[in-house]
Amino acid sequence: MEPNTQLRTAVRAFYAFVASMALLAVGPIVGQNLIDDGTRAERIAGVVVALVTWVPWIIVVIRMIRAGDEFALRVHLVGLAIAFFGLMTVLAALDWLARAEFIAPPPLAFVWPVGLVLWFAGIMTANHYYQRSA
Amino acid sequence: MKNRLRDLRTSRNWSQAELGARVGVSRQAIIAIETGKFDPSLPLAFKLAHVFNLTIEDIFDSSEAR
Repeated sequence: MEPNTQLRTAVRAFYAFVASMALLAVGPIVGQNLIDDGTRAERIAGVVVALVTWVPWIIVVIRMIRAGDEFALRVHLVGLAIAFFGLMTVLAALDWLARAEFIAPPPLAFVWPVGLVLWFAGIMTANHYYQRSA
Repeated sequence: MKNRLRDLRTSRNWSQAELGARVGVSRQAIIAIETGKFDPSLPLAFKLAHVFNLTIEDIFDSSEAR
C-alpha cells in the first residue's frame, strides 16, 4: 500500500474509532434515561439503544485487529486470552465472596468495564512481553 | 528462535521500520523476531530470506526446531 493511501486509511480508521467510542459513551446515558421511570416500550427502547451502540465499536475494533500483521494478531490473541481468563477469575472470586456473604453481590454493570480494562491490560502485557529484549 | 536478522539488517544500514516495510510487517514485528520472542510464519520467513537473498536456514537457527 502506498504511504499516502496508508495514511488516509489510518486517519479514516481513527475517526471511525473515535465516532464509535462517542456512540458507546452516549448509548448508556440515553438508554438509562429511557429506562428510568419509563413505560414498557420506553424501557425496551432503552435496552435496544444501549446494546445497539456497542455494534459500531465492535465492528471497528474487529476491522482494526484484522488489518494488523501476523504479529499484531498474536498480540491481540494473547491479550484476549489474558482478558478472558482474568475476567473469569474476577467473576469467580466475586461469586464465591458473595456466597460466603463477605460482600454483597456486585451489580452486572461492574462486569463489562472490568472486562474492557482487563482486555487493555492484556494487550499491554502481551506487547511488553514481545517487545522487551531477550 | 535464534536468528541473524539483526546482523543482516544492520549490515545493510536498514532500520527496523525499513525492513518491516520491505516485507510488509510492522517495526514491532521485526523487533519481536530479532529478539527471538516471535517466530515468523512461513510466508514471512520466505519474504525475509528473499529480501536478503539468502535461504531461511541462513537466517534462522534450525537447531532449535529439532
